[in-house]
Amino acid sequence: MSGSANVGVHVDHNIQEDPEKLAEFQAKVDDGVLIEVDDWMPCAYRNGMLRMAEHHANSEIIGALPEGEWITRAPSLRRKLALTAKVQDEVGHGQMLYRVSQDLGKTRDDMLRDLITGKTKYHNVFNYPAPTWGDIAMIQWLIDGAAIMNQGTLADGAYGPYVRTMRRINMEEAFHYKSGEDMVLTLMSGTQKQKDMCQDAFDRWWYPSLMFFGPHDKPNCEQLPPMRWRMKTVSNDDLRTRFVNRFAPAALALGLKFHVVEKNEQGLVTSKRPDDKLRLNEDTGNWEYTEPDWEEFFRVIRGHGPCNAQRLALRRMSYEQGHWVRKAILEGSTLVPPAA
Amino acid sequence: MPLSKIRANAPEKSEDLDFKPTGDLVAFVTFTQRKEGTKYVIAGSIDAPDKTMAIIYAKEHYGQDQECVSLWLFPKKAIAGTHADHPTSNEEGPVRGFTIFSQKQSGDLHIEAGSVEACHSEEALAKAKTQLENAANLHSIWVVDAEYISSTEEGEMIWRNTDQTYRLARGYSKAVRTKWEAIRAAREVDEYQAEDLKESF
Repeated sequence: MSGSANVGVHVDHNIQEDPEKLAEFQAKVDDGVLIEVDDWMPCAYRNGMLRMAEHHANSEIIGALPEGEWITRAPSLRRKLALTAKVQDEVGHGQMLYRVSQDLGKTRDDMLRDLITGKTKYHNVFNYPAPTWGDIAMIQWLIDGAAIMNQGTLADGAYGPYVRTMRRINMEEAFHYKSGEDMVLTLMSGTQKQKDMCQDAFDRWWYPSLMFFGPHDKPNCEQLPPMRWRMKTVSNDDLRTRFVNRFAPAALALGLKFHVVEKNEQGLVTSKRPDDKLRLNEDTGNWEYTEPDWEEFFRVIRGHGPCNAQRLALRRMSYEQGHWVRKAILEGSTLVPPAA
Repeated sequence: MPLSKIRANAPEKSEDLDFKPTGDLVAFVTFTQRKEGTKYVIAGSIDAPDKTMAIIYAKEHYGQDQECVSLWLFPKKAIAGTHADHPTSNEEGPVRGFTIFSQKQSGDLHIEAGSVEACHSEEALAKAKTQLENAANLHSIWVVDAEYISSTEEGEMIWRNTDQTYRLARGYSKAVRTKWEAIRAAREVDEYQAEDLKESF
């Protein structure tokens, strides 16, 4: 359920690529020919694709944590089955994306270790809390909706193994999004208490979902490697506009209200006021809104979001507790499992 | 605000891990057959300690996201073919069956494309090239020693035949539509009644 909008590609200018090969590579990309793992590719492309796929894989398995917590508290058996299937899907996406990354030259074990020791990142959006069932509905509606929009364009990229994985992932995302829409509709056609819970969750998730697409693009983003090499095919700002155009009118139709919010350190809303900038601009056909707090965005990326420490602690605990199992499998060692 | 005690008490650590990496499991490639009599198509890869576990994982992972009746699986290392990451070998062995998989263009899915008999993978690839129509235009051809291919048993249930609509988008379409219709209709009535001739009531 993630995107890779936050990952940059750092071109190492010390690496001199063969200009002829580079031109040939660019021509292939421009012609829409997909690149396979054993094709020649610039060093920065290989590293960039590895970073992107690894970041995406990390996001899938961390993203499963807040939702997994709600499985035992789902309000009905059908919702419980659906949420279990969804969490299983997300971890499966992680598995497939780690495979794409492994083929680009990094072991899965190294990636899991780098994730829990903070050497690599995962998507910012998973550092926010999900205190009610309303949040689970909002995550599936807004965040999975955003992910489908993003991944739909990533499936149009140039790296064959990643593109194939995106196509497969998107089939499953459709279910996540639809079940999320159903949950939001159910809450918003329910009692006043259900509607309030849904509105509160919407207040918590609207801005993280706008920030989902990453910061504003650099003015020449189409000329820079990520887009020139079709690692991504649509800019962050264009994706964000498409998202708002789809979701703002839907939320209004549901009776949800748009608020500009302030949050505390735990990510809970402390004060809110109506977003008076929210309106459809008839001239451009696009919806206008109050910008997200970009300082918050960068603060969360640097590790100071409401749930960063908690997510990593949980992932690390399960990695450490699984050590004896991996050892037993790989080395035939019969370490005694740690006492429960 | 974690909901379980175990989650609430997960210790926050910043030091490096005190044990070494264990390395990776074996990579297996999975092919699924969607319907009886159709060709096997690549589904993706799975990492597992051995082929028995790999089949179990693959059934759960690739056998549940799309309807499928049968599944093939082999170690990635068993692939020999036209690309540099899958070199062929001319080390002679007994004459045996090799299964062929072909990929039309880069980015496409590999699909089952028959079989050949050969004493090494180089010979198998050469035979595959003569046997396949359009071989020259294919992006990639894999030959896999059939001995390494594991499969689910005939008639084995993979796709469960219980109600699985809860995990499919179409399982929600009708409910979503009905709820939208009710909400939008209710809003229209609300708006109409807001301007109602209240003073005459």
